[in-house]
Amino acid sequence: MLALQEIRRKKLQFGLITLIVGLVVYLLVMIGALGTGLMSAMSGAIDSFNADLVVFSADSNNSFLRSELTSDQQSAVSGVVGSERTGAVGYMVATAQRAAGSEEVALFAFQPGSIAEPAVRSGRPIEGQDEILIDKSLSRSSGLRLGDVVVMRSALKDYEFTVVGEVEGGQFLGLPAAWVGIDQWREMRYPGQGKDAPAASVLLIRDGGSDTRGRVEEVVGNTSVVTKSAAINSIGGVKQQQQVVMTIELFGFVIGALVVGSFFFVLTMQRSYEIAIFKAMGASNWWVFGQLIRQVILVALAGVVLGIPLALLTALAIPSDVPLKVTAGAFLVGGLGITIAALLGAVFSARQVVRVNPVSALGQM
Amino acid sequence: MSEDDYGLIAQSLAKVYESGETSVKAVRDASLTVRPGEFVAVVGPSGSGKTTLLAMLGGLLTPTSGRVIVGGTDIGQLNEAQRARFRRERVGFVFQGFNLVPYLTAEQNLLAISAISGRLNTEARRRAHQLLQELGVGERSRHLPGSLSGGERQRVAIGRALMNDPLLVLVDEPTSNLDSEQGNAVVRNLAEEVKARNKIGIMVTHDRRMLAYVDRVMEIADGRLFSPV
Repeated sequence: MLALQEIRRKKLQFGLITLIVGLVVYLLVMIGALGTGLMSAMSGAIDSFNADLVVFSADSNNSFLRSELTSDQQSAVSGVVGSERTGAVGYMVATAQRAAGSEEVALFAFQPGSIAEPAVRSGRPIEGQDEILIDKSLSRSSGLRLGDVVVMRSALKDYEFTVVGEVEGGQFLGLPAAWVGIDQWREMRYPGQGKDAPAASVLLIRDGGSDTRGRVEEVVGNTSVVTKSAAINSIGGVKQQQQVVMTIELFGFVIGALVVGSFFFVLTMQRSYEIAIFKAMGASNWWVFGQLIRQVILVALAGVVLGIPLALLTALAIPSDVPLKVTAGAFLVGGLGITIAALLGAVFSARQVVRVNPVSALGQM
Repeated sequence: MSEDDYGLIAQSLAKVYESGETSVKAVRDASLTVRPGEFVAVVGPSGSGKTTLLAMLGGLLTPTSGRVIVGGTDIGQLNEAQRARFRRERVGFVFQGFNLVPYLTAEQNLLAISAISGRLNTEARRRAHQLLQELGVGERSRHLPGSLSGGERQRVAIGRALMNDPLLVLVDEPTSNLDSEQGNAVVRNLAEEVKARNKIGIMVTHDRRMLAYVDRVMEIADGRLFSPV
């Protein structure tokens, strides 16, 4: 009752602090969304792999571009985990030629029917050598539609593909992704090498067993086997990017805690006489602090309620080429984080509450 | 005879404030007995120790020596939490300037007492309503202190002091900032309530004009409490 009444009678003060908390929540959600968006632009294609482990060649430093695996290595991996649990993936950068201009594309390749085959959202899976699946981001940037013909240029040679399906969530190193059959990729990537060409860039393994990694590395020579998330983290810049985003988020929380903390600190100082009266009338420190905590939680929740629609509206208004991905996680982190930060900030006022001497409620001592 | 009927007994109360080398004897050897239904005024100039005395009687300050027994409870034996509970359940305060919480309505100022004890229920609402009615401010119960007249604020403050049905009602300088007509009215009001509700009433004041309605007057000077001759 008291906590709420005070807010009702001090609308301006509490309105302002709620606005500030709301803006901090807004900022945190946007930073989180930007982090997720950047992450997705850098590694979304890898993240969408239906795999637990990724096998690179040992000397590749876990780079998708440099890794090359032979068909012997591929068979050896199949021997260890079973061919239905592994799939070859090829990777290269190609240029998509369109009447409107050309565009760099992260071109992935897979063996149809293997675990490396991406899930098609619209259209159909590829059936022939000259068919291609494109990521949503590519159809957005290039205007490609199902049934369109796209020319992929590699090593000065052009290859024609028909778009048959669209997949979702796939970008790599900021490039929109496309998927073709692995035999076609071998020809494009290693022209004229025929049977001597590497069989794949990497191999995916779908196997949660804890010892799979060690077994594969032991049996299959010259390989480096890492988890999918480790493979993502070894992509140049991804780790640093996420650290930057997390640091900014941390600053946001600290600012939130400081703003809320100092607001309630000042409020507590201002009403120390009132607190003395309550304590003289028998209120415990806990009771007084409890009223304060209620106000803190109310302010934090009101801030969340204010900040989240703002973030949603901004996400709608922002052009689609900005890597921004507003997720429930971003809301959860922003909302829950600011509430916890606000409560931590309020702890500074606890000391203030304890220090108020109820005797000071009586005349001049 | 219940323990409450013993009233308030203060025996040889003393309070010494130490600060470095010097020590100030704010109250020395003060003894006082007040029965329920009796309204006693303690009169003295500022700095005479009357507020210190009031604070010790109400369990806000621990005496340096001596005892305070209220309704059979020796409050010197209580720890801090128990003293807070004693104040919640047994003491009603009328503060200087009445000091109502400005953002709470008259009724909510009374209900705050119940909220402190965690007893904010229908019974509390009924009691607050009834007290304000009896004090003649029932019509004003939904007003904030800022929109009440001085006289109305006093009556709300008295209602707040009576809200927890205390045994002991302590009044701190009720007439400061009031003209003598208003001052007389509030002291008369307090005296009536103490009598009608069989409370132990103790008022400290420096204002000698307000003593017509009290049962007994004690003087305090330099920390010594005595009956006027």
